[in-house]
Amino acid sequence: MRFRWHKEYILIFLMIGLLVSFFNGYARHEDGTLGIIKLPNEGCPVILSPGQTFNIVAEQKGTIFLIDNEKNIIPLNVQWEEKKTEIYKGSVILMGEDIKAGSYSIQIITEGGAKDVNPRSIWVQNEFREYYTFAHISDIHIRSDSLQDENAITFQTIIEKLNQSDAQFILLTGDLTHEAKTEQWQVFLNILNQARKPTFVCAGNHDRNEDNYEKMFYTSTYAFRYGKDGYIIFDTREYRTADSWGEQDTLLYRYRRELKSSRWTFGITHRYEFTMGIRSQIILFVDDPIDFILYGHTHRENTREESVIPWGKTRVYVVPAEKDGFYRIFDVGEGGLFPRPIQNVKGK
Amino acid sequence: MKKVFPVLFLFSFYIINSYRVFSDENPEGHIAYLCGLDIDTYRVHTIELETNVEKELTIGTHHGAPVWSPDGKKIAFSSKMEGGLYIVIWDSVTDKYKVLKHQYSWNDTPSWSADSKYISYISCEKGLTDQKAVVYDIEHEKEEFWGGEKIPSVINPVWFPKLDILNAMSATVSQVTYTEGFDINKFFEEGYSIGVLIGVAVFQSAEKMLTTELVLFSKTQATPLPKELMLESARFEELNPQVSPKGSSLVFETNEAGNREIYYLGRRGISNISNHHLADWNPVWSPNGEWVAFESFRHGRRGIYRVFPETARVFPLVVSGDYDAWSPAWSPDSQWICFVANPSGKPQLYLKHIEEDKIIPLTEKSVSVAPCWRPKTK
Repeated sequence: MRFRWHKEYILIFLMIGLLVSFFNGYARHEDGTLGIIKLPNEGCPVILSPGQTFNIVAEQKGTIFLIDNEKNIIPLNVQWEEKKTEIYKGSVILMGEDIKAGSYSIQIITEGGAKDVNPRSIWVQNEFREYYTFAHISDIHIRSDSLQDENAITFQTIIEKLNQSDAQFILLTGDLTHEAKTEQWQVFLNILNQARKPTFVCAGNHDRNEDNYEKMFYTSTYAFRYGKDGYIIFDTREYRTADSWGEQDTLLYRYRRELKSSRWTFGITHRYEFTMGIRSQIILFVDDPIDFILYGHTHRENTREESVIPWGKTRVYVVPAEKDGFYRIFDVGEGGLFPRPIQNVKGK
Repeated sequence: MKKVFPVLFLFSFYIINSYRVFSDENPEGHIAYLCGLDIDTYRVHTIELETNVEKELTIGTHHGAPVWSPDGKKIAFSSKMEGGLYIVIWDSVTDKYKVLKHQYSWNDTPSWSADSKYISYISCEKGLTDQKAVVYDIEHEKEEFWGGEKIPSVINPVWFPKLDILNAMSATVSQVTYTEGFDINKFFEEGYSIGVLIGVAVFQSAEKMLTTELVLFSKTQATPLPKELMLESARFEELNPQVSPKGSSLVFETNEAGNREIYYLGRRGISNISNHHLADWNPVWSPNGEWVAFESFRHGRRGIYRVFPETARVFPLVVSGDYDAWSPAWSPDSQWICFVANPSGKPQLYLKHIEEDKIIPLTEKSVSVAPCWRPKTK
């Protein structure tokens, strides 16, 4: 009986969330795929301080605005690069007296008058602390188009828990859906947008259905800085894990160099396997080893033997499956990365 | 002096005209490559450069990088089939496939012997730490594990086209030390019978960390490259050994200099031939043995360069501030390269003459990577 009440609670909460999203100008396409603005988005946001610059990727050029939670619209100055590919890249300076700490949607109004909004894409912090926390969840496996699906309810419950936690942001390391179907993505995004923290996603092997993942989040390889630390999110796909033929090795090398000055550098991915492309391993674990790697995939915590990547310098933290109720919060400080005990919302 | 002028005039006329002919020349032959939406849908394609006629090899899924046989008649590649990754040979003459019979389920990175009769590849159950070097006798359909039990795991084994490598390299030092139990006579005996491979052994150091070392191996014998030639190789991670077409020298990459560099091992010893503080990797010999193409980040983005190994003079081949370029594949006459670049946003194949600036787009599909130029058909 109590459980049923709980589900109804969640349903009401989701409805409110959908309404909030609607009035906030939620503007992905009807099937959940990205509209005009590709980056940043709610799975690949930016966290920065006033005066800093961030990059925008869009299908069309236009004027850029921030929208805060009170629906105030703040114009920003954007410098668009000359178009070299099928998309436009721009550089936006976060300047304006009205910009306070908090979350913002990013809006574009194109030269042709078309409008697009990505919610929860810009997170402004006045300062970055030396000591901070983040949450790690993985293997959510949204299976159906129903918000009442068991995995969807678990995801919702954990997002609620993390909203109340002291985590500054949430890392979601793949298998966000079970089959990467449109309706599964829609449920995932609905719940993701309940989060009141920045959410960074990466692709898992279950998130592959042609190029659906890229249509939802545009890129599966990116990096960001949080204060003194660097985070590299990369793709370890099914079967041939991190192949050497495509563009990812280029990006991994570039990000690794850009984040070389970081206090700590984190690799965020869905899995690590011995069969992972040797070039990616050389870049991340050998020539200039990252300090920590966080992933999921196995649905269990790593064993003691698995606590270091075999090349010897990168510490491993694997979180059990979120669909089974698990999540973990980490403290980060001068001394390194400190995992708190793994939590479970299902009482396991 | 008056007599010299007409000669110089005629010579310069010849040079200008030959350059014009040379400029209008188009590359010839076939290129094999991977094409698909992404790694899940890659399949080997071939394209004939004169006609642009294409063919897709349809067996299995998740194809790996194609490799033409030295006689130019067959392509070897790995393909996912029935719970495993198998090596497949496609015969371009008969248009038929041969799927190799394997003991282990995971088989990848095929490499042809110089006579096109054998294929080496890695075979394993788990991955990086248990990969065995395997040689497949195509005519007799026989798979054999090479190198004996002393190599715990090996990646990217490639053949020596000739056997004078050890003689050539050992000429640089007065004494060469091989690993304990290594039988040099048996090594040469087996080498002259079938051939010799070089690969990258992956093993655990005393500190229980993985490291790599270049190893030579024949059917039953294996030895790391002699320490007199390799400086302190156990402390560093070598990768990608590439034997020169004549078999007398070797290039490979290592982080010995503090970052990834291309090293050249020849008759005069070992030398760093790329020498830059940003990464240099993936060396590829030109078929005429004069040049080594490699990738470097020295001008910001990933680009392709060529180096003359004897002098370590580096020349840019494809370098841009707007896009990345990688995976160079030489034409059989060593005058062109086919490579992958992303100026359109997605990786596609392009062609470039090594002495000219013009870049010719070759593919315009979803994603095209891993080109391999067909050798001249024998």
